[in-house]
Amino acid sequence: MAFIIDALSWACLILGSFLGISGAIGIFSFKEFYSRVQAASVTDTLCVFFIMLGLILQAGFTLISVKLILAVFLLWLTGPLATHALVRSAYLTGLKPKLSITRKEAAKRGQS
Amino acid sequence: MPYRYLLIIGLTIFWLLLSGYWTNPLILALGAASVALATWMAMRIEKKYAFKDKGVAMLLRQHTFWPWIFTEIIKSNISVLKCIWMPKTYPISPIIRQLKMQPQSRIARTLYANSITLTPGTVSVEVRDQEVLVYALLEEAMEDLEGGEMGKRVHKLEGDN
Amino acid sequence: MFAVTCLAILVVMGIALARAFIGPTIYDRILAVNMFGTKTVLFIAVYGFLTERPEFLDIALIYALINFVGVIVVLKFVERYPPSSAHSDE
Repeated sequence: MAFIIDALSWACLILGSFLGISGAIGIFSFKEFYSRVQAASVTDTLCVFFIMLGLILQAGFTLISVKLILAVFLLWLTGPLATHALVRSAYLTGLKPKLSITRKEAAKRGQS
Repeated sequence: MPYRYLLIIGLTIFWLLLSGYWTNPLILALGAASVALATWMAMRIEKKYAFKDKGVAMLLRQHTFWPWIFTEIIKSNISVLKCIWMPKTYPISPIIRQLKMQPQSRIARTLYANSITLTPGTVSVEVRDQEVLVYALLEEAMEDLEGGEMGKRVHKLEGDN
Repeated sequence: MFAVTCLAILVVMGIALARAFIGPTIYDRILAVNMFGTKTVLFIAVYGFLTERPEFLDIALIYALINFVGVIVVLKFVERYPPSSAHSDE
């Protein structure tokens, strides 16, 4: 039983690390600010969740687990707020995103 | 005023869980003082921006919303991961668009905009009265949002006014 | 196992720092610093387990809050006094 929980928590930690590294690669390889925000958002949500889940599985039913759950809750609550504030102030101060042509517009251009 | 009592109960539980010392009278007294101070400050804020009890009712109604938003987060995480690792086969198609908001009350609109930002791939850029400006990394994500599933679910949380 | 996770988080933090150094816009830097802060919270938590001192979690919780407040304050400042080179691509 202990072995299964250990294996599960290791899997969670590895998955979380993988997600974190993918987010880091995303933040490095995307060409533009608004796209990088999305890559950072990956590490803010599931990476946090899986690493904390791995730690919770290790800790079991203790106060430590409660604190870990609280940490996930706090990060998930403050993460989107900070992201929204960041993107909003970037947009309002005039940083324009590079947009692709949508399918509808492409169809319109094809017709005309 | 049930909101005040809920706040006191919640803060007390919060303090007890975080401190872990449940028998030391000095620490318990400090905790009571902190709870009183925090409640007093929250009451002062409430005088200015009157909260309704609706928020509490919403929290109780959220049992189907949280699992749903969690599956959405996993799905959108996978789609963004594809864009990161295989940019050739899954090219990004950034798009920005103004969306109408179905939720009416202030707290529901906050929750909606927060949910949009929390799911990777979409981020709410600016919130005006009944509209939200959304940036999406993928056109499909924007189409999902325009489908209004998330808006409907948040709207349902509000219940009947 | 915790050591591997620690290492991975350190790598992520390093890349985030690199992005903070290159920029190019000031918002990229703030984004990177925000991500760095989130990863610091995770790192403190995992490090607490690695050294078997889970009291570190309290520090992680406080750090999460301070990181959030710090980012908001910096954003407020940048929004009010935009640096002249805020949107240059270089």
